Amino acid sequence: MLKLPIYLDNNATTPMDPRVLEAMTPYFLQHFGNAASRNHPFGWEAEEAVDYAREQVAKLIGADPKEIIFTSGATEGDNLGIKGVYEMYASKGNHIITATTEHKAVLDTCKHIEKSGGEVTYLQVQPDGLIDLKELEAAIKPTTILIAIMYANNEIGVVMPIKEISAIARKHGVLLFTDGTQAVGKIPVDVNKDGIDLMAFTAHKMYGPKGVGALYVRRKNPRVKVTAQMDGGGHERGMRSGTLNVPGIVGFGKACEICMLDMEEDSKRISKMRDHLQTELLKLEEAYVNGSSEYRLPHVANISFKHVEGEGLLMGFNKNIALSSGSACTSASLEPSYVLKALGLGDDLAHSSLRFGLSRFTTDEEIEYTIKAISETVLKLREMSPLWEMYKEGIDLSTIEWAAH
Amino acid sequence: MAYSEKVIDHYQNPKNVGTLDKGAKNVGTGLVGAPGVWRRNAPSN
Repeated sequence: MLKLPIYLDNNATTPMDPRVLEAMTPYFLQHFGNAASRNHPFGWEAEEAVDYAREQVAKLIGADPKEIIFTSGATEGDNLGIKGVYEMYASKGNHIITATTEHKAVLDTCKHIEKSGGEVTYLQVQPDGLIDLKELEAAIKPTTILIAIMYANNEIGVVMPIKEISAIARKHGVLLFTDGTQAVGKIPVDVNKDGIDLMAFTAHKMYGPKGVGALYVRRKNPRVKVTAQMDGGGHERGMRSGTLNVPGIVGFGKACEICMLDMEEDSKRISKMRDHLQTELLKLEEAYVNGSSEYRLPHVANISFKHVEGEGLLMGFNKNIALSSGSACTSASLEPSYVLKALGLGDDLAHSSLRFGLSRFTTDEEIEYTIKAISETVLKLREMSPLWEMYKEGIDLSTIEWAAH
Repeated sequence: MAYSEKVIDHYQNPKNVGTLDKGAKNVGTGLVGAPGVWRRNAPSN
């Protein structure tokens, strides 16, 4: 039975897996101890639970448990990873390389660093959303200490060539930080095979709870250190003070364990649904996929429907289908998505985009309903769209100069 | 942020929408707004 509303905004957050909630429950009421309490059973239980979760999290990304620093989420991980390296390696240099399509948590962190005297290079992306490796290598200078490139993009789902980026970083003795938020738990991520030195990720994008995440910090070849960004009790090997969110961490661990077991099967099933959705929607005239279709997460599709406006499109069905136009972080403003603009899309295409993010709970029925609802809305809006009428009359809209008034 | 009832009503029941015959003598055509109000005005008299 089809249940409305349908949730297809899984890049914003995923629903929690009931198995995760089940694992967390005892740690609210029975085992409520502080993991840092060393001298009684309440503390021991909590510490044991955290240690176990740390192993589960580490295993998913091929890391050593000691390399996992628990945080409040990926934004904190991005801040701690980038600012922490910038401060720790100040004697080596002050130059960071990143890309224009990064998440705001990375871009604004870099802007903060620029204000405090650092230098940042923002690489442009190619029309498919991937960075040019030659440009990356050319941007490296003697003062470069860090490359910060995301694993997979939150708006268009493209997966960056992390292994190749890492090879360049290693060759020049530069550290590699990656924001793994959208990738971890969805596609195989292995910090050793991929050559990652630091990686931020979060539980709530992989069926875990909100408010908990991790920063992976490499301990061997090379040994990486970050300067703590919060002062306090020196938790997490001195890198992140603050009482550990024990129930959250337990849930995060469980979510990682489930992803590890189910990833392969889930992604096969989900990508089949995503491909079907995309094929059917591209049957509409003037519909385009944004970003690379080849190097892309299995559950994401970002599609533009020319000559209709994204918000207007959403209004047609957002009572029944939860979707984003642009990303959730920027859709409160009417500015078109900076990620889509970075791909070289004009305002018209950037404004008319929808982001589909499927999950392990998405069903075939939901996809069929979505295809029908979106197709109908696009056709209905185009029927009364003056832009569509002009397009049909053969007027090239890009030749019109729109004056402000 | 939910939309107001008025906005939703205008969305579901669009008002004053349609196309006039651009070949007609009393229909003028112009571009207004940014971007996209493509208007054909027919004088009422």
